[in-house]
Amino acid sequence: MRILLASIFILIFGLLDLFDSPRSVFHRFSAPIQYGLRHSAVVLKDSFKLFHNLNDIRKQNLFLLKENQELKGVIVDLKMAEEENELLRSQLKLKNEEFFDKELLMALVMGNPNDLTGTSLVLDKGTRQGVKVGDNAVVGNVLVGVVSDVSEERCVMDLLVSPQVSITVVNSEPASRAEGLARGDLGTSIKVTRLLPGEKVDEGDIFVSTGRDGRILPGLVIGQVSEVTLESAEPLKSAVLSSLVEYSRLEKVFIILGL
Amino acid sequence: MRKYLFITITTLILVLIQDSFLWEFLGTEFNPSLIIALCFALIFCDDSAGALFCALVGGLWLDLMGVGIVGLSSFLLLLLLLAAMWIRRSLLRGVWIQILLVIIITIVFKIAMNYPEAIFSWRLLFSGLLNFLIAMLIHYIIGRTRQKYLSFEFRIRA
Repeated sequence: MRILLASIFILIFGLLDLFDSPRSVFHRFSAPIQYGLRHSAVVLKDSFKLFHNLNDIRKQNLFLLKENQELKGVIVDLKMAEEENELLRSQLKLKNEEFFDKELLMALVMGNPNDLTGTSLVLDKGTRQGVKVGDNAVVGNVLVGVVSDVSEERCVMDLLVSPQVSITVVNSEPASRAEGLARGDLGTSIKVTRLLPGEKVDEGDIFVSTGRDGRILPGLVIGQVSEVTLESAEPLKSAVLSSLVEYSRLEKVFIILGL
Repeated sequence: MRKYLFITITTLILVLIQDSFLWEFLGTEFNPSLIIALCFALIFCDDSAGALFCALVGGLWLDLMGVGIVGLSSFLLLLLLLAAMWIRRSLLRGVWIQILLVIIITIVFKIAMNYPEAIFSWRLLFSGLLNFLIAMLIHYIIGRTRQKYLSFEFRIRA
């Protein structure tokens, strides 16, 4: 009975946030161990996968060798285009990729064992490092999630596949520019709704954020169209996006500070 | 005193492994709850006080490691363990009941800690079963260690 009383007292103290400081200290010490253990699990899992998929890897290797030869030719074309692009940019004095002017904070992904939906991850940075609710997390220029909860040393990031995250998006294809609303779909994919039936959306198109929602920076890559659906009963069509980042393999992300 | 210190350190190590290595390796739903396994191993060894202390400290480590309310895991684990111990003591003692108890408590704990959403998946059954196997393994290790220690002590006395 005494032990139950002790747990009730701990719970009350916990509800009053009296454990925030000890928790911060604990997080500081446990983060490197946790990250190390998680990283070793990833390596071990990859090794198992390698042995399991050896035949597939051989086939993929042959395909990639062929693709590599083709891409070498494309690289030469791209280099020429890049030189031309550079020249045009300097002439127009365009400020490219605006969000890199903002401060980026690297955060280690700690996982989230309590989330059975698999739509959020805990990162090892919190209010002490300047993280706020609503901050965007990216890998390269690909948006991976939005910070939904922050403690002193950690924060929770809702992934784009989470139904809690909704973003105004636009098709990056210059011929289309179709706009819609992207929202996580059951933790498996991202669904873009409210697309006008006349607007051109094809598989493989890349959707980027517009920034009109006021929460997400414009120009961040959201995902690639894997399926387009137009139900006769509905006036608008929708598309399913697959993320360009594999969430299960995320180890480090960058939080954009000072939005 | 030594026993409680040992439980404190062991639970910390188990929580670190559970929330990082095993979570990455097996995924959220398949991930066993090593604290529940250790608690049940102690119950199987008829060490109720140790099991309750393990639930209190293990739950606290779990909460300190995560971002939820501190103390919730401990409280919930204690309530579930007390219920399991009451069933074991007063109602049913069969092996199948013990297996069922471990599975049910693992599932209930996992669903409750996923608050505010309550999501059930059949994969949680596997997690519960794995928990039972781990509990049996720990129970075996504790039993062997005790036997060795007691026989050693007996030899000294003799």
